[in-house]
Amino acid sequence: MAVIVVDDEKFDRYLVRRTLREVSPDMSLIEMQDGRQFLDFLGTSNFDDTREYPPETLILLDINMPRATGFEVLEQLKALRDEGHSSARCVVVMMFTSSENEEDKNRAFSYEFVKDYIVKPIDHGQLDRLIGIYQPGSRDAA
Amino acid sequence: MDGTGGDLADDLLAQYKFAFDIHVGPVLMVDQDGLIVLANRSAEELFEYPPGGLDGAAVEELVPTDVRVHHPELRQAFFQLPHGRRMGGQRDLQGVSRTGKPVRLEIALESVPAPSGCTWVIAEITDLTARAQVEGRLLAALDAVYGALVMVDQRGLMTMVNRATLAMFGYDEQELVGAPVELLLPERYRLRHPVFVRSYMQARSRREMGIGRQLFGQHKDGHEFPVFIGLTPIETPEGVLVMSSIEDLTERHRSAARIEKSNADLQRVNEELMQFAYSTSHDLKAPLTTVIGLLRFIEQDVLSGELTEALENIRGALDLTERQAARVESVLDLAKSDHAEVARKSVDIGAMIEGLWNELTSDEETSAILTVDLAGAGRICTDETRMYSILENLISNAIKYADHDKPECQVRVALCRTGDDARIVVADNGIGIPEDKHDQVFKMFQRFSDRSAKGSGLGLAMTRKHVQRLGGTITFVTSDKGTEFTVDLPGCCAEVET
Repeated sequence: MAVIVVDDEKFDRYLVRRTLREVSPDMSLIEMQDGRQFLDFLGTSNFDDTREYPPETLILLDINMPRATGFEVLEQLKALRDEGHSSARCVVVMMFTSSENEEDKNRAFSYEFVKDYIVKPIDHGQLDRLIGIYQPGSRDAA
Repeated sequence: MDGTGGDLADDLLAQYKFAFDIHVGPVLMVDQDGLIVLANRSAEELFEYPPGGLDGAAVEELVPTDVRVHHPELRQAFFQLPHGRRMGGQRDLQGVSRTGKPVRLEIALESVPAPSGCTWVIAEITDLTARAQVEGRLLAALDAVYGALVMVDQRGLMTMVNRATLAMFGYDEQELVGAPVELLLPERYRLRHPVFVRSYMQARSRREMGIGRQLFGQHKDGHEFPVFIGLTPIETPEGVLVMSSIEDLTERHRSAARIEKSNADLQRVNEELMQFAYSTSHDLKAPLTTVIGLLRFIEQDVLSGELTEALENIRGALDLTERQAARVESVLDLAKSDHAEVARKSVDIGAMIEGLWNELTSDEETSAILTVDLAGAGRICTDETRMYSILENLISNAIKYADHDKPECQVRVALCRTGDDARIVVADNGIGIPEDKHDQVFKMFQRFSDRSAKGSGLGLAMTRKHVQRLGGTITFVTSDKGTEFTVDLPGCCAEVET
């Protein structure tokens, strides 16, 4: 299992890195600066290759980003999944934002692969719980 | 014979005199030569004669001068075929008093036998002065009404119109009275209308005309206008008349349209405000959540003595809060820019560009190259503060979004004039604006590069507000070769000397 954080604010990425280090020191973390970088990365990776990536990849996705926003990423992911793109089919997305707006929340949950909506700042308990839920073998919790 | 005849005549006259004296209204008796044989006191008073003053006078003296010449002929015609009737048909008659005052009256004629086989004619007079006064007051009252009042008879002809009708439809009174009421309608309704008039005459209820439909009147000059029409039946001895009360709705429709427009404006402003509140709260909150996260770790690190990481995070928190303070400032500037007055004066654009450039490139390691093309038009008449903000935003964007893959960053600022209008162009050879972001360029809180890039995301929103307040427009063209913003400011070269 790996965690990918997609956020243009470097301090927010630091907060996830540091929290993860304290909650689950062995978990690998990939940092992306914005939605565009993530989509490029997704296009060139084989998430289904378990030798390269653990079977479930947890994505913390910010909403308000330059170049490609969180919603643009979700739309792109949906298209890739519909095409049967193997990497896109393996991801579980957690929205990771400071917006508590109901409209944003409903829009995010309209995508079946969005499993949670975390309002920043994330704390140890939350991250611990997320990792616990989405670890292989406990997928039913999703 | 004569004596007896004279006695008889005197007796007859005495009898008539007695009858005349007890008759309340004015009454005259005239012989075949048109001389007044007998008049009662009431008749003398009506025509302002002293007692006995009418006896032996020519009846023509009581006829207005303009018709006096025709009267003997009419009188003789009556004597040839005498039968009791009303004089003058349906027309109101007019007499004249001794002092020349017109007297409105009605006259009933009756022939009676006179001595010697002659005929006398008794004229019973009704004084219409009082009635004319009431009518006059009534007409004055109708004329005082703001709405048009049109009285229509059973044949659909107009029998009375008030002054407002004349003003509303542009006709003279003579053109309307006696004419079909359809004259006041647009042509397309004229054919069908008489049917409505007939059916209304049957129903005779007080009601609004054309319920649920918009009715139109037509002015003499052909233009149509929306109207409201209320109908009231009036029963008279001559049959049912219909009083139509007509209101011109043009102004009411206009003000309704104005209210609708200002409602739409308010709604739009309100939506903008909601959008502003949402974007602002979100964008102001985001960095705070990050600072909270950092502070939690700082607290944890200070307690455990991990001061190096704590110090690093304190610097991060400081950086974030400083950036945030600057953004709050820009939001306030933007809000204020809507309300501040536009103060125009002659502004030296060349000097402004030079000052701005020095400021924007002073502490950067930028190697940007500036080209200024003023085409001999260095000054324009505009609001200095707003113009500064417009140029500052456009030039700083041109520097900020430089394409580092290109050998050098070039910025070109040009000012040119067409008549009284000025055009300012700020062009760069930077990275351009992605196509899918074009419609968001002037919205608030939009940034097209990394968040850590300097800027509030409000710059172009504010720039456009300023340009609009100056009565101008701002547009752009962009590609991977660069971006070019064009600001058109009408009328700002008028009072400036070249």
